Amino acid sequence: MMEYVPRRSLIHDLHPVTKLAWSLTVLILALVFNNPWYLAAVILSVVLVGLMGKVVKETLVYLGAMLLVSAFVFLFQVLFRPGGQVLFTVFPSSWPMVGGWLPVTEGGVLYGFAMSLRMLCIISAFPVILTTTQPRDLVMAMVDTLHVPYDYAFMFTTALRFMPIVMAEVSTISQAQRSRAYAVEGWNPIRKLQAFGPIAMPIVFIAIEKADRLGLCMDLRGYGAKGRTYLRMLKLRFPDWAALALMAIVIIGSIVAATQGYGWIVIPQ
Amino acid sequence: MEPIIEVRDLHHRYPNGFHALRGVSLTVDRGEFIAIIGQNGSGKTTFVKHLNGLLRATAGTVYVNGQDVSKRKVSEMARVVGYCFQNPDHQIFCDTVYNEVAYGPRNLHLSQAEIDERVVEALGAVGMLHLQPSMPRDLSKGQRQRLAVASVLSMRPEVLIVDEPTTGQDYRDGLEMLNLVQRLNQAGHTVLFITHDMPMVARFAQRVIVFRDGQILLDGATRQVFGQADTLRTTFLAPPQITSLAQALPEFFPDTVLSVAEMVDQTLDTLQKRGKEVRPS
Repeated sequence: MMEYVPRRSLIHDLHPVTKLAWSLTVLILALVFNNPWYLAAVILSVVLVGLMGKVVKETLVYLGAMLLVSAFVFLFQVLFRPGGQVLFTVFPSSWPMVGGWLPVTEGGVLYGFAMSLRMLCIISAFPVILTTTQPRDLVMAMVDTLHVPYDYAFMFTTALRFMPIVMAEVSTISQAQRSRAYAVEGWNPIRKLQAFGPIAMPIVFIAIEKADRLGLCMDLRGYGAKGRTYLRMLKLRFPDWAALALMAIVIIGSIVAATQGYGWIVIPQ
Repeated sequence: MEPIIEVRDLHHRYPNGFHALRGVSLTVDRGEFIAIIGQNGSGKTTFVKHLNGLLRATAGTVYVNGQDVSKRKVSEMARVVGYCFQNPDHQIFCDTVYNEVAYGPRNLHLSQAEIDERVVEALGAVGMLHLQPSMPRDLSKGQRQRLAVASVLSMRPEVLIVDEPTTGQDYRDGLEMLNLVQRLNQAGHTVLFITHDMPMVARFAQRVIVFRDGQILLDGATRQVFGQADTLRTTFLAPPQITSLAQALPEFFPDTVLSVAEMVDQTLDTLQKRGKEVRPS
């Protein structure tokens, strides 16, 4: 799971709103281009930002995990969105009955590349933001600068922070059950489903208990009292304005470029 | 004595790089009753998790009951090593006490008659036979902890590991827990328990193993370990107060004292030797 990594870097020092704007920029770039090379370049730029933020390892681990999802996207597009010249068929045409099924086409491969890279592109900024921004700063920026109601901002970061805690509990529960000879064996799907119980039941109870205690702690610390103030205020500083200006230029430039036909390829349908 | 656990030069490094165990070697004989103490993060839990394969050695060997643990699955080791986690809520998931205790034996694919027999035996051992149809979530914390022990006992493991059985319990529940573990030890189980409760260690353990920074600092009979107060202090541990009191008065108590009763006995002996008539109340 993505957690804040306390390091000193240019990216860590940026205002959370700048970083949110950056993820929006990446999203826009991912949508205006469909040329796989352009999309790959956007992902590379995200990795470079990760490098600047000294979280390149965390970013690559996350992207590596997401590569699997992206591979599925690719596979589905290739198989189910044929178009243009047929490269080969999954079932060779010489086979009886099924011969010639599931053609792999030029258009399908291109579209598969474009879609899987686009997906990877859209989500690639998140690990960089989450590892370089403290959750409380994210909340503050959302409430103070973007005027999101505090309850929603708090819900968002609490959910983010809850995940690693729940994962740690799941690992402990799994160890406790394995100590009682719990083992998921074989490929029987019903068996696999049943095997969920010993892990799922305790985690549901523990999560409810934790949420209950969290609510109590929030009440005890004056959650919901009127006139919330902050100890540490964040201001947009020069690097933030510079970054925002750069992003605005990149966005306008790319939209203009895309309308001129750069970074946009026609995929045969 | 026949050894049941043999650990040689065990190292463990967590994926985050933390070198939690740095060369641990020890032998445990069948039927021993051992307390494992040390600061948080000293490697106690990491060490015991190697005994049933929950953690795998980075280097070194672990043999339990003659089996190389590194070649066994945790579910296979469960027949030999019973591991009670600190928080019973990490394992309780069934709708009745009976089913909870029967879960382990069912995983071992035993016959229904055998499962029944083992559930009755395990619940009897923890004094909860009458609660068979109860809902585990309705039990008290102390009862849930004993249920967790029963659900491990029903697999009839020779080695029993209990992680912090007294933490978060009141004195009575903690004492009951250790009385239970002691009875199981007397019934033949080899017991290792992790604790921060020194009076309980003095009262129950035959042998104490002290961990510091992933290594064994002291390993010996309880009396001998608590006798080395200076070494214990280096890892922020102290013997029970009665032992410290006796150590502060070395002319009166040359030997390590582990309980109030022992102090009374030694005091009476000394006074008698000096020719004073004493009548204990």
